[in-house]
Amino acid sequence: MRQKWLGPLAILVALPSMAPAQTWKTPRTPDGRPELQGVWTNASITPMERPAELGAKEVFTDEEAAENRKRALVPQSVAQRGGTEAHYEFTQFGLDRTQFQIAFSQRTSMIVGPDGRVPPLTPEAQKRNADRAASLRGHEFDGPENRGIQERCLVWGSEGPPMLPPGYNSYLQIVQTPAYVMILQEMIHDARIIPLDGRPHVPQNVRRWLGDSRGRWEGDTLVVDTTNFTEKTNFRGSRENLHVVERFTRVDENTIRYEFTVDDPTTWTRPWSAELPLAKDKGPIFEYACHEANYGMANNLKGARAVEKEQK
Amino acid sequence: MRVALIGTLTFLSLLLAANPAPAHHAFGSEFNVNKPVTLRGVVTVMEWVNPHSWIHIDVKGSDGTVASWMVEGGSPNALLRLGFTKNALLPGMEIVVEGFQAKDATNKAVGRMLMFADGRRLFLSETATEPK
Repeated sequence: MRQKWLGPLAILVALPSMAPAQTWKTPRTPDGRPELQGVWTNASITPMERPAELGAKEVFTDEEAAENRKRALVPQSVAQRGGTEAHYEFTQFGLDRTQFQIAFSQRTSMIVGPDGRVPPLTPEAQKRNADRAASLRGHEFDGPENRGIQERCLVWGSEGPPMLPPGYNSYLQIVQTPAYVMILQEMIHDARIIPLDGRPHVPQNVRRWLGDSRGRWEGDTLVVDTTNFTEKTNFRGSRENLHVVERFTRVDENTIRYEFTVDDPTTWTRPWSAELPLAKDKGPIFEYACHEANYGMANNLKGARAVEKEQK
Repeated sequence: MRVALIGTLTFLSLLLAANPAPAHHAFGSEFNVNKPVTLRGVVTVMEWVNPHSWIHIDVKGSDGTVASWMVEGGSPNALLRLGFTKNALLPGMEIVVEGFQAKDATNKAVGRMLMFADGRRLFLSETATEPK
């Protein structure tokens, strides 16, 4: 029963721009800032990079976008999916995209610009990545420290910033005060507490899993600047030198436009930018107490030991 | 026709590009796709833990011996959003699990498809909130 009305709900919520623009006024907090508070989803069917066959086409036509939405709301059989998913019946576990709201975008890729692709890595970054991969090769399952930080329940791969859709449980909550903005992502439970008082970033020797965020208002847009990441976090090959600028703009009752620009001269040949919507969700957000040393970690290592034994 | 085909291809490539596998861990190193199992057993415990729920069942063999198995399921958060509650799957209920056994050959499996004994699928809307 619940599933039956989720589909139509997703369509209704996904078409906020149909409301006449002149009647909508930006809702504001008591101190006059645009209201960004609430539970939002960034679940998406838009890829980060533009499929090559779309060339320089940055935005779908209304008809193409409507067709994409229609197709996205049909459950996919496991046979249509590749990789890991084939081992799960997605609808059974509430993981199929027809079972939750999607923040639809008319864009062909999240990355903006004529090519819609991540710029090339610098030679330094290529060497760094190759060296790192070479040193791990053959040791991927030696122990928990060799596994990814997502598998260890430390930081989710999409958590950022920049914040990207995690694939499931794609929800975040924003809370505002005059002095701070807090962003809680369900995956995997971390809260970013962002001061708005103009204070500088923490010193260079202080490094944080989600970086050090500082916010400011530029007109009606919240701008958040983040630095001081660790060398263990990894955003497409960029680690401790990642610099992220995010922009949050409430564009209608049901949508925040979320834009980001990332820059790291030690990794990319130029800065690059992307844009995706956050769609208002009825909530609530749930705790996701992903814990280090979960069963999956032990099972993975035991599996590796069993394979090693067989190969001897 | 050709336009429709290109549209389909574009859409499929969008889907593939936009959907990283929402599994939390290295599935291939935890479970063995060459060891499919079908288990019929009685629920003893359901662990509501992220990143994956785990259902414990007692499986009676043809010789009458009972083996305890652990079955990995989806994220409790997503199950909650389906309306599945702690009262929907209780100790003593019989279920059937189709899945793949753990690589270390112990009594653990990932549940690809879970059903009640009468064939109704677990977690879905008609079975989400209460047992019948």
